[in-house]
Amino acid sequence: MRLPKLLWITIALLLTVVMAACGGGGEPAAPDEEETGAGEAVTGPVDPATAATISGNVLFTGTAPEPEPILMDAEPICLEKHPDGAFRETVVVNDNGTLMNVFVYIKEGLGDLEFPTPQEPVLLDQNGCQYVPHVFGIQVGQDLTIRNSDGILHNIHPMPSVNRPFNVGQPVEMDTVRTFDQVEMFIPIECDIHDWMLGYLSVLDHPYFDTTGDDGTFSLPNLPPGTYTIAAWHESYGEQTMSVTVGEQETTEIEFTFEGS
Amino acid sequence: MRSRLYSAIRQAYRTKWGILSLIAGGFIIATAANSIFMKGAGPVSAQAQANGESIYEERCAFCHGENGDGNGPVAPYLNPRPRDFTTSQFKFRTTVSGELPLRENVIDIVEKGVRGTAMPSWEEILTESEIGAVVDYVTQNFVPDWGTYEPIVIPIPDPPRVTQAMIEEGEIIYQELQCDRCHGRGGRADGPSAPTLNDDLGFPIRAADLTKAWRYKGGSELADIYTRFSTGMNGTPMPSFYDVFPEEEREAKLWALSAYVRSLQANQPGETSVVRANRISDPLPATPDDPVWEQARPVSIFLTGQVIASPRWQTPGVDGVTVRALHNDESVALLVEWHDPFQDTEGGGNEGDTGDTTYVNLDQFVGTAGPFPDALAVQFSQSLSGGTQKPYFFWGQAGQPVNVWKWQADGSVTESNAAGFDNGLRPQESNDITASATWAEGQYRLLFTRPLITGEANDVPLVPGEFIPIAFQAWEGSNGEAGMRMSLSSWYSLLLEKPVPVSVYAYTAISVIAVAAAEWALVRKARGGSSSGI
Repeated sequence: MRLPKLLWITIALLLTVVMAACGGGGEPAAPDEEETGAGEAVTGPVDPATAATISGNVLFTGTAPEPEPILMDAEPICLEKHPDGAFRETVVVNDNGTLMNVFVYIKEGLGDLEFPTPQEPVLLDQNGCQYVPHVFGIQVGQDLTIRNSDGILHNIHPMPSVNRPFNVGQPVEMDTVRTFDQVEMFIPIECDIHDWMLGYLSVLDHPYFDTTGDDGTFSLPNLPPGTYTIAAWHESYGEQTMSVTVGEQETTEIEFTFEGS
Repeated sequence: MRSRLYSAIRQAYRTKWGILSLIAGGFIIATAANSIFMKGAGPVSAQAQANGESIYEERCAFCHGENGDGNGPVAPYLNPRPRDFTTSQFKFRTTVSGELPLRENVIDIVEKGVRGTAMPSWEEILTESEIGAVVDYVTQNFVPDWGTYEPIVIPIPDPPRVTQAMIEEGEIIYQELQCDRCHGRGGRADGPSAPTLNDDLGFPIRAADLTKAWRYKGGSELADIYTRFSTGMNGTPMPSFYDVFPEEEREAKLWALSAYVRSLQANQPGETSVVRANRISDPLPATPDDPVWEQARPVSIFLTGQVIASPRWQTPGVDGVTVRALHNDESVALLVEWHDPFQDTEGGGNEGDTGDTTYVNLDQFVGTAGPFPDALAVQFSQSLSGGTQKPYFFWGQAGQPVNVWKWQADGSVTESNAAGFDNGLRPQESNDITASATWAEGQYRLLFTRPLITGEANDVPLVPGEFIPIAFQAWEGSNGEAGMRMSLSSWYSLLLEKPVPVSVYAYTAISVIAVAAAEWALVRKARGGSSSGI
């Protein structure tokens, strides 16, 4: 498929305007200091004049399992960071009855649209012998900055089946930067030193993903109008999908509900 | 030792599974069979057309599987399991963590083998071109990403000359990098994170015991160690530490660390066939840590998996013990030391499902058995009158029984007798042995004492000056060992130093006088001779 040169230049110019206006797309659930990419250059095939938003929250009904405490006595540095006790994040139900750590993303509907690789890295912090964030997404080719804020030995050991795995030791406070080349969902990340440490990383070829936090909400802004399959995935309760249609400049609110045992 | 191993393997060969048993013998095959059977075989034919596929099917598929997925017929019997080439994961590389290996890295492993595993060295069996052909077959047919990109290579410089200062700096780096989390402070693989380690397939995996050169799967030389830190071992918990140091310091730091780790291998005493018990006039050591033990010379004794009787145990935990002995004319004291990264004191566990073959099917077995207590036994021939005819080294035989002292970490100390492994150990009513043990930092130290002569007919009389047949057997509880799942040694000898008889002093005095007299006569004669010549 060859387009005339002039058309390419026009598209490029348009995209530049778009990115200047819109800023970052779906922000991965990274800590605050990394989310200041508002003025960052993110180009994409989205017309800001028609961009829509799908947002909502993830409810939880039924009974959640009791939080499982982590025996961290062997790591006093980490233990101190959990004054109220450290717990596994397998199921975290928020005070408002919503479910945390649900990964919400567009599963189908974007067609052949191609999105540029964001320049700002996603941060994965090892803090208090836990992964922060616990569940998150990244775009293909985007830098993942893996930080050790604990200063004790962690080894960052993702277990992908499509991407190439790696296993890097971080015995001191340090950063390691890595990227992932292929789309792959819910890659477990483990630390062999601390067998309770577990996180999930998804690699997508678009920016429309979000993880529910302590208010249970998510937001997928800057969407081209259309009909999408929205998926919500939780490590214990699996995946639910929903077909959603948004018109130009619309914001559509949706709701997922996960049920405990 | 070697001839015993040989007969053990022949025995295994005769019983049931034929060659399958031998291959499943894992460690034994890697070491013994390689040196015994294959040396003479030589290259098939230098001219033979190197056909990777047929070589693979003949030599490799039994473990690595027809499809290269590491699921050959014997795979459930091997630990570690054969490499699954389809995962694109290779442990031994000179490339960045997670990357594919270079062709030469794969060739290197095929040539040298992987120590402590069932992967033998092929360099004396296959020609260079055959190895190249089979490596090309494996990589191009089974490894999905092979040839699609250029892996990033980590340069391995020439190793420097090791100095004491390097070793000392390396010890500090070992602590800074917290290698002890898995490998333990003394390198005995007893670190706090060691019990929960799994490989990428979810199978339990152990950190390497760095004090044992033969447990370094990728080689124990300085450059091998440097390479492992730098590249990590894909598919295992061993990460790459290459990015920890700034580039300008990296090389020196990693060499220092390599030098220190290599220095941990240095403290293994040599192997001899005789354990000598020095005679002391002091009381015998009361504990395993008694300084009196410094008067005894340590001896290394190697153990191997029990592969004679079903269930055959191809993945033993304890591969060697260090033994010292002392006596004081009344009693003998034996100090047995061995590495066991995890102390297991609990007993009464499930027997577990060992599968329906004579070897233990690890896929079925692991996780179904235990807990079992750690244990160690010392075996003696009941009689010293057999001369060179010793009982069968595994629990004796009819007409040539053995007496076994067994200590277990759950506190039990028993004396038993056996006349063949078929009948097992029969506990003895009288018990003249005492035993006490300590465990610290991945090492047991076990003290046995017994009077030289007891009133029990089944007890071996420990007569100074006699070569007393002695053998060792061990069980590592957390490795699923109990009953026949054990490791054992062949016969060695215990030699108690004889008291020096008074006649020795008399002979010495007589010989001194005789020599003096002869010299005096000689001098006189010489003087007389020279004067007569003038």
